[in-house]
Amino acid sequence: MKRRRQTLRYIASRLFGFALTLFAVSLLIFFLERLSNVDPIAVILGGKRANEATISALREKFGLDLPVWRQYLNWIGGLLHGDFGTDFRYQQPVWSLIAPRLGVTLPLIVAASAITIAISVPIGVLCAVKQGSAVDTALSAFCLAAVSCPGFFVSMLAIAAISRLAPSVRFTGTFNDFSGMVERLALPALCIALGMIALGARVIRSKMITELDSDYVLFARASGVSERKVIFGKALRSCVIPYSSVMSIQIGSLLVGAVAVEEVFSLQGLGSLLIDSIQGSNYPVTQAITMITVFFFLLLTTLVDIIIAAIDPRVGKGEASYD
Amino acid sequence: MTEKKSASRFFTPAVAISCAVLFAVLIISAFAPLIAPYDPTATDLAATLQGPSFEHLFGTDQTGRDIFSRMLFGGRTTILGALGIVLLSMAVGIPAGLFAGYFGGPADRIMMRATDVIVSFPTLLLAFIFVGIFGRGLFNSVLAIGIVYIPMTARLTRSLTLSEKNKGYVEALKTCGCPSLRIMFKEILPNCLPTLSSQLTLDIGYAVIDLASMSFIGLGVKLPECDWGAMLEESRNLIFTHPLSALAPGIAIAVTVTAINILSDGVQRYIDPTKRKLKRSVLRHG
Repeated sequence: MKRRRQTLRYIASRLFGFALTLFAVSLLIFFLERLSNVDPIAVILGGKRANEATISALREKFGLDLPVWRQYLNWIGGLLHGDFGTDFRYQQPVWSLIAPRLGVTLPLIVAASAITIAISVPIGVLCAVKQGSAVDTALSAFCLAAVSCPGFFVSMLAIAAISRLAPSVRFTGTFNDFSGMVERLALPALCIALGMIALGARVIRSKMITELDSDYVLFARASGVSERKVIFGKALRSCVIPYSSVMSIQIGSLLVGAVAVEEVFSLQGLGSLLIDSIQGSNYPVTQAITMITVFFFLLLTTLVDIIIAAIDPRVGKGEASYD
Repeated sequence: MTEKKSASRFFTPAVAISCAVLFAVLIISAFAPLIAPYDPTATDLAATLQGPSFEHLFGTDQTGRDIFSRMLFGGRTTILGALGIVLLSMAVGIPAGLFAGYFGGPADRIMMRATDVIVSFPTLLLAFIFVGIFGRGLFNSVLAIGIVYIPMTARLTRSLTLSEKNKGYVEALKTCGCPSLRIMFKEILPNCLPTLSSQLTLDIGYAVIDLASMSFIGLGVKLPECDWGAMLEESRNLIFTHPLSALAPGIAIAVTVTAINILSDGVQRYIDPTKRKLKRSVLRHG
């Protein structure tokens, strides 16, 4: 009972921290954008000439005539209703620009994460169990190199290799159906996954090595538990916590983190919209993407933290941490 | 253990090779203007996209610039930028972490909340926005990525300080009336340095990749500055016809970062010998 109350209190404090951080981020991003010396009206007009009357009408339309704090309240009020405002460049609802981009980036993230989890865990376990062997040395060296290679360089190499080896694979242009999506997104997903696979395998390997050397594993082995059960039933369980902690940060970052790979594969993802909006001083879009990305990131990391606290009560009491 | 033995414990073959690679990269970057046969920004429209030759070791790019010379100067920008990022994160993060960890209380809470906000921007999002507002260029990119790195250094320093400050020697110094600043910087900091140095070495590697990514997506250095990321971007479409121009900067980044990672692993193993013991005992079990 006491344990449950402590866990609940931890969850409540994490959720409160989540809301508070989101609020602070909204303040930071909004007022940071106001430091720019680019006049929003110039962006809205897009180089067209306009007389004073048109300009003041536009000012009113976009709420730019209001004091800054009113502009902030309008923006945050809209956000709470799911309204991201109107963008400066195309003068369309921001959400209508973002939604099609999410249709590319979200499947990409899901695919990359699935590939990562499916491959990194077996590699990590294999390396730890065969520690010091030729297999471990080779895989560890590969992981080290993969962690050190920027994803966009891996993507360039992959495109060069695939178009030599399998010229029929189509990885440019758009897709309308599921098989087209698989064909288009498989390679970029693999390129994004490569670095995460390597990182995940390294985390599993090092934690697993520590666990396999611990007393409870020694005891399990001594009492005749099969090696298979020791590895997958006992030692691997302890790896779940650091692994999911690292992976939640990696996967949570992908909404924008995949931008360089998306650029190489000329995918119209969320990242390229963000870069366009930053370069074009299109603040409503930049702010919206920032809030969505931070929300997604915080949601994932907070959820994983809460799950970890449920598994390991010491976390909830602040006696252990897995940072 | 004698000095010689502990040195040979650190310099495994992989670490020794990495150190040699990094030393070479540093020397080449430092003396780029002396080594480079051409001006890295000089275009020669009569000699564009040439293959490797004795005149142009790595060939030339779309506007006839010598790729070898650009690699040297690009390496200079990349290394200087990465070191700048990590130095900035140290200059702010280490004192902040020491103060927060040592004194605790409201200052500590404020610092932790502030770092919470910054680390809730995944990867380089905050750096992208910063550069979008204050403009591109090497200096601004270093500043922007540095700001993203500060909280990580500050938090690590804080947690190391927390584990040191309750140890006997700190209590003893306090009792003797040693000033807090002296305890923090002269006594606690040196004990945090081994772990910090391993992490900061790793950070240099991340900084190389992050700076290159910024340049690659067009939010990093601006002309005439060039770094390996910008070179990769320029030669992105040449990978079929002129592979060397695209491969050279990519391989340079990968090799430098791999060497930095091996060095960091080496430092880690050196300061935490338990890992070595574990290795032997696991082998015995397995």
